[in-house]
Amino acid sequence: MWRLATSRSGCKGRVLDWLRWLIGCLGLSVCGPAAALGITLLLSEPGGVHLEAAQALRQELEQQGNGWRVRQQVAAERQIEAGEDLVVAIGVRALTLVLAEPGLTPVVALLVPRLAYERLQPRPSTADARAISALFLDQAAARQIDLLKQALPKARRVGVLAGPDSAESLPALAEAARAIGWELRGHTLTGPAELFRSLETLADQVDALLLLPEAMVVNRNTLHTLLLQSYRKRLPVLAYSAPLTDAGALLGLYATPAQLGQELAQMIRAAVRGGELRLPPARHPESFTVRVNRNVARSLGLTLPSEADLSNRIR
Amino acid sequence: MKNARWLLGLGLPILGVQAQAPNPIPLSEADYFAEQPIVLSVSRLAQPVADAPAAVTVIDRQMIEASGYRHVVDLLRLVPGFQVTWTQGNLPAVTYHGLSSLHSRRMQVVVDGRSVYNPAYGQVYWRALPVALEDIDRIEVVRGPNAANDGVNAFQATVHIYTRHAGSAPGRSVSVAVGENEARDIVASLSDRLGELDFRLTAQYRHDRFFDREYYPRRDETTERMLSLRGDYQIDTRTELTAQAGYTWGDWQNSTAAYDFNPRFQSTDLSSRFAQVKLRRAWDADDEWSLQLHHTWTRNREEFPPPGMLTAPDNLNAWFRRDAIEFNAIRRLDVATRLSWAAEARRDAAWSFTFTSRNEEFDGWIYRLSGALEHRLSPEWLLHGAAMLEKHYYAGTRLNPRLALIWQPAPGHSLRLAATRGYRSPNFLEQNADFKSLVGAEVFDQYLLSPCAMKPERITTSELGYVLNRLEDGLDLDVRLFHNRIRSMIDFDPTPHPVSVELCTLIFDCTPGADLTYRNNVAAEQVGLDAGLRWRWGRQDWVNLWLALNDTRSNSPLYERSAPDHAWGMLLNHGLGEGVQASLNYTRVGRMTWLGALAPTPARDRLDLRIARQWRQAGSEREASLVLQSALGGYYEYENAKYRFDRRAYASLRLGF
Repeated sequence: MWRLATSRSGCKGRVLDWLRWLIGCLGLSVCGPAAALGITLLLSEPGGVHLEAAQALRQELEQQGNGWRVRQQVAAERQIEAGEDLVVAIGVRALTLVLAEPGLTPVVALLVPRLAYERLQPRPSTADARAISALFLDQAAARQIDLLKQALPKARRVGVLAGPDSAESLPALAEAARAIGWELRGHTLTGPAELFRSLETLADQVDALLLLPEAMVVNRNTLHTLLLQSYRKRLPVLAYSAPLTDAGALLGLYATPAQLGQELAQMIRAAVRGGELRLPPARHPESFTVRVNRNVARSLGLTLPSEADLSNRIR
Repeated sequence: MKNARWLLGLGLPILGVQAQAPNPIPLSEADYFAEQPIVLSVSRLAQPVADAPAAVTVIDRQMIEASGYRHVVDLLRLVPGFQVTWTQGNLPAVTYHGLSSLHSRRMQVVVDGRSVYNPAYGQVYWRALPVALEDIDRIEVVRGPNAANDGVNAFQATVHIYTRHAGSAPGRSVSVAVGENEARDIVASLSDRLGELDFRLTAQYRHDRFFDREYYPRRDETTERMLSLRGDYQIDTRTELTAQAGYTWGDWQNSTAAYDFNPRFQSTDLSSRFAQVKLRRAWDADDEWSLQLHHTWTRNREEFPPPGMLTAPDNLNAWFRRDAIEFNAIRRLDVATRLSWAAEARRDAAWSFTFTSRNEEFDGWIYRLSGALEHRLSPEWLLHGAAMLEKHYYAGTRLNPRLALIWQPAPGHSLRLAATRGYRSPNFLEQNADFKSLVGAEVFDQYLLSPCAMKPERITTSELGYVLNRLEDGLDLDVRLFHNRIRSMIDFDPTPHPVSVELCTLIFDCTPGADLTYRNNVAAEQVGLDAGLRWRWGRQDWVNLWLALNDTRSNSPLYERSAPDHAWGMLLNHGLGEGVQASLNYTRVGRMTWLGALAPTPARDRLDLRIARQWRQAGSEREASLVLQSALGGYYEYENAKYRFDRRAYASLRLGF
């Protein structure tokens, strides 16, 4: 790992950064595509899922052999370096850190949920603001509903428990449901004590429950109630992570850190066109993994297609 | 999955938020990747019936509520092949395809892994079970012997009652029921969470006069007060500690031993308590082990002035206790094979001076080692092998095997061929009975005697089962065709065993010798069929139909008549909208004669109706229901012309907040 000059701060640093970026761009158009793109992978934490994503991203980027310089840093030891053309912020902490930095280096976020990204985005977005994009951690609403439809052919109504954070995603979910002829019933909790009764009511009205990563609904205090109650009501649950599927949800739809890293690498490559780095708008991932909890499926008397089969159907 | 210690460095809370406004940074990747406890582990999921090596009936909460029953024991009426009867408000009896007296003792009953049958007499004090109907999560009944998994006494069938996890229904609830025949129930429950501990406290008061004064020549008032506590503590994502305790006080205006010496004065003061601790570690959904300790103690106090010239008995007091430690493990060896094994050491103890004429505690140890292997030979063939090695204080060391082969030719269809062997050990009473009445030091009349050491009873069963799951149509079918060969059944010798002088022979010309002597003298063979069908066409619209047929042959004509040759029933539930549900519970049981009964029980039809309305608001819920039991009129339980169960109604109101 090579280290360049220490970071500059203040106005002077900004101008120099901008100049560097301009030269970099010109250099790209003169010398050919992506001659010396410097990418910094900024990890929120040194190990775990962040490292997994970083490694997959790095591997995919370097595979091209286009001479891009990929550096890896941990947020706790962040150092702005010269030749940084793009920062990949892996995780919310890294993203928060980078956005607070001066400079206009483009940032693309990885392993960041859409809601967190939208809250962190600097506003207003002006012409000379830095370019920012993301590959969201969460899956698109349409695919989640589609998976439910493929797994449960007789179902028609999906229930969602939302809270203050996720309430704004309900309209998009409702639209996605309508598009395939399903009905969405959402209930927004105003306090954690409402969870049990709301779930009781909802369970009688719908054929499946879609879990949203809403802190008020899914947390250590409520997990037992959520899963035990849904199971008691024989309500299939679609969760957004592997651990939740193992905990007792019937289905899981998520992208692994490795998948996301790989996809972002492709996104970055595609973003470099004609020597310029043009970040696409932030979007949900194309890649995904389907997981079925066979024990829960058997216990509910459900015969579900294989995971490969379901994956093919919702592609 | 990588360790999640980095979560601490993230500094973002994952716990539930109290604020109502959106968080500044609502979510992070922590919410997606954090390790979670296995909530629905193998032991907590209901048995998938299609893969089970035996016929299993699951009674879930919907069925419990739709049935309208007030007592746990009545729920077993919904199981194909089961007969439930009452002789007094405090003495229900349950059996599977007959072969039982009112002290039904050929069944294993387990509550949350704790065996609750009485080691002294073998039956279960159903009304003293410290389990409220509201706290039951489900009941799983294995129809047929299951010694390989459930040990001694899993002779005819095993009933597994599971109570709800303490965190499954947070909040408070109060339920009040009032009805005819002095039916009065109050149940209050509080469930909450303190840190990582979920707990539930339930208090229950229940009272009724089961049989009417008009038909039943004695007051039949039965009252229980019950307190139970359950705590589920999540030590870490993989480990959970569950502790339970309960106490029941029973005030029963009847004898519990069913010997009426002085009916005006005989009543039972029953206390029963238990404590149980279970540590469970679940590595993943297929891999877990648990260690459990439990203690149960029950005391019957029944004291009365001896009638006439007798000086004894003046009581039918007894107590018994059970202490056990048990280890269970389930492990998936590879994609096709799953192994489960268990080890248990248990101590049973009982005392009853009146029944044994000895003022000593009878006790014995049971050691049990069992293993079960489930191996998928191919996508269509599944093989189950299980065996239990058991050393019982009376029965000695025995091996009980079970073998089942399941063929699944197409998804949703399961054909099962199984063979198993089980045994029932004599209980303390059958082995040590010496029950007599005295005048001073002289024997007046000898009632019960065990002159010889008893051998255990043996059952060998072969069965053919079929399970259909058609989820697209909401249809489930389970059929069991079986053949039982039972040997060495313990019953009473028709020839009275001689005893030394009995005063009653000199004074009243009573039969000389012990009235009832225990002997292994009955053999029986049974062929039968029981089937259950469940069809669901809406979330609140479903029907359960069941059928049982039986033919029993035996060297004892009493045993031949003890099983009804037919029985069927239906439990139908319909949602009428606006939170209203109606259900219909019909059972028909053919003619049968309970062992020891003086008259047969005629074939009877019983229809129960229930209507309920639910109101739900943001933080609370209310349910009002009305139940009419035996709508078609009175019928006779246990014996014809004596124990008449009349039409009766009760209303109940439940508040959850």
